[in-house]
Amino acid sequence: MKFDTSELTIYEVELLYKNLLIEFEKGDLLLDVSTVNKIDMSVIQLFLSAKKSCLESSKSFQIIGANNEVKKIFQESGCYSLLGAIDE
Amino acid sequence: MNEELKLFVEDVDEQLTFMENSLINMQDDGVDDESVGALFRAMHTIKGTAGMFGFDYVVSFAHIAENLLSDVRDGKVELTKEMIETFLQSKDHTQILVDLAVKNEVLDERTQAKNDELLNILKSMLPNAKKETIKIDAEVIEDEQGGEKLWHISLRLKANFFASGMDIINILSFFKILGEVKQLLCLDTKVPILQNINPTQSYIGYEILFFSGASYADIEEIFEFVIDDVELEIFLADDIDMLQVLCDKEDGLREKLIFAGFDSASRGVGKVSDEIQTKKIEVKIGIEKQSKKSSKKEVQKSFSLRVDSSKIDQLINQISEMVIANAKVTQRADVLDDNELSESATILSDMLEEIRTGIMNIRMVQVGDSFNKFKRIVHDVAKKVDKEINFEIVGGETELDKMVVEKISDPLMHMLRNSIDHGVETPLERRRLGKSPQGHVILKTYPDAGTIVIEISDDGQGLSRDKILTKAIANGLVDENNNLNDKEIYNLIFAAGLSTAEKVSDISGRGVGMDVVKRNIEALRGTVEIDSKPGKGSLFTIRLPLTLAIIDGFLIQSGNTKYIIPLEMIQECIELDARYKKEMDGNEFINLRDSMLPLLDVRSYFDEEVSQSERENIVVVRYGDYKIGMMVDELFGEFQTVIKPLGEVFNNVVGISGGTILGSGEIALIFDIPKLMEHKIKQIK
Repeated sequence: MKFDTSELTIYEVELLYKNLLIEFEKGDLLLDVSTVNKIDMSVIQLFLSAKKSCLESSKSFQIIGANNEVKKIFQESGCYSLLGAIDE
Repeated sequence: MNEELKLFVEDVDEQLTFMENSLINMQDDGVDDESVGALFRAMHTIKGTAGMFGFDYVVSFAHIAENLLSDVRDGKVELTKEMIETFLQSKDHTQILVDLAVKNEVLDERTQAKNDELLNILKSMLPNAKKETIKIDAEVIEDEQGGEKLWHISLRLKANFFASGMDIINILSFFKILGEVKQLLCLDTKVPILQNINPTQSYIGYEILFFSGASYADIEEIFEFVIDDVELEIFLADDIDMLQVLCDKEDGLREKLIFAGFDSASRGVGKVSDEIQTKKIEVKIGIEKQSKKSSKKEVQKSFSLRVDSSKIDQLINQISEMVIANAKVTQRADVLDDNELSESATILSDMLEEIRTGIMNIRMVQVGDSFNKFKRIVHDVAKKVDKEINFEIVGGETELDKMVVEKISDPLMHMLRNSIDHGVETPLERRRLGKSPQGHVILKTYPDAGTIVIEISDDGQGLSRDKILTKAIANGLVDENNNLNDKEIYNLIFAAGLSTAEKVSDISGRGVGMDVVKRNIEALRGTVEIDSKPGKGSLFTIRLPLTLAIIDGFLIQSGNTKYIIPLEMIQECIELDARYKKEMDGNEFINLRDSMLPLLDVRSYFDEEVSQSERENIVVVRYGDYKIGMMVDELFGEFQTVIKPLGEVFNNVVGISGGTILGSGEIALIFDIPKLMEHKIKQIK
């Protein structure tokens, strides 16, 4: 699942949620954030939720393409290790 | 720019304007504790909000300015004139930093140099014990003050946290400004799986170990904008009892803390004692205190609300349409002779008027809030031209439509600059003339007959009548054989391209401006006049309507056309009976209680047909110092008038400023009283 926006924030979270649910039904979650420069806590929380769902359903969860800016946000949110599986 | 950033920019703008006004006031009136405290809080707020957006260079700069203000507030440093000047420059510089930060730009060389220069000056003003070292591009600010402690901060976002518009990541980044985050543990235990989550609700919590010299209050202030949207506990990390209380509240928290390296969590395991019970009570008290604080904030919140002005404009438009619709109902009730309907329409009309007044009041602002910025402009211009100016704002509490206040700002600025640059003499010259070396410029505002009057007066050299006239003749504006009085000659300076300034400066004197000033004022349905006395000074008088959308009007008829006269300008209505007609004897004057009242025959002025009306009336109107009687046929009474612009056809009709739609669907024309008076005065001459 590749995002076509540079910002993932509370303003996008509801639409993102719907798309994640659809994607989750299809199988593993591979989130390509290469176009993204800004993520806020509401979206990080949604990713954490998605990861939990994947763990429960034995599906894989991976975030790929995170640039340094996004990685820094993950770190500053204290969620870098919680999200795990962030492609280096 | 997103909504939060817009609010940040607006807030910074307000804080900086407030700072500027306070500084200028203190420069003029001396230092007072209340203003210093308010200055500190303004800079503190800027630092706090900038920190939440991660605008590090703004935070770093504001931090030093705030420190110095803190010392001034605590009486450790005296606020000198030089320091006020530095803070004024710091205010300007902060604005530049914020603009750059919002645009996501780095500091250019010039700004960086200014930044360093100001920081050095600010730091040199700090008491020796508190000199700080600062690295602008780094996130750490070292403070040599001792007393650093290890704090434990426990934070839970309430379900509606995201609705606060704040991002917790930005808030957390603020910790780095105050000290070092030793441990940051994000708690996601309560985050549901994808199928059960409400993505707009928050479920996150944090445990933080924070090493800093900051106090409890400093740390609490990090959360001041979201204090109602979080559950917050702050205690010293070695307070095992508090930790125990915390761990007892949440299953598995202690293990998580130990696992995350919160060393203190591994101590005091299972220690539940009376002491802890006591602590629990303390915590409860603490929570009560917190909620009291929160409820206080709620009360404060209810005082102000930011609303996009376009929403108010939309409401005014809708009310305007309702007023017109109601006028139709009223008219229909009259035609049908239906008393009940007529009564209901009257009640509705009163209610509409109340709503209209209420909405209009939302738009009304005290002019002083906006005019205070002129103090800085006067201060800067005076400094530039080496003049001493005592600038006074009188009647700052007068209320005017916000849009009008904004639009009048540029013309006022121009006139003030002119007054200082060309009106007021240099201290040397003033001394020579026997005047005090300090010139006086007064900006005075007051309501008068449904208008707001703004006067700019100075005690300078006044306008040179002869120079203006010579230039006007040379430019072909007036004939050599003109019959203009002094006032009319002075008002020629509003003609395009007429500047008598001997020196063209970057402040004024290019001859462009005063015509634009007049045009801008007239675009607001206002008028401007000038009077001047050689050697004594000049007086600019601007008259503006209170509002631009709906007015209380008075409906009259002349010939076959209905007209509206702004109600506030009407002094009285009298019948033009046989006695007056006899007195007139073909002249357009009557004797009204022993004073001559010039009359304007509306019917003949607008080429109306002869009326069938049996009686004629005079409506006495006043505008400024002038009074005339308008000869009309019918008087219908008060009418809520929605001002509608007229088409280009009416552009050149002197004396009509707009139109309105009556209940019958007819159009009534709104008189431009100042223009009609001008015409009458010229006619008399």
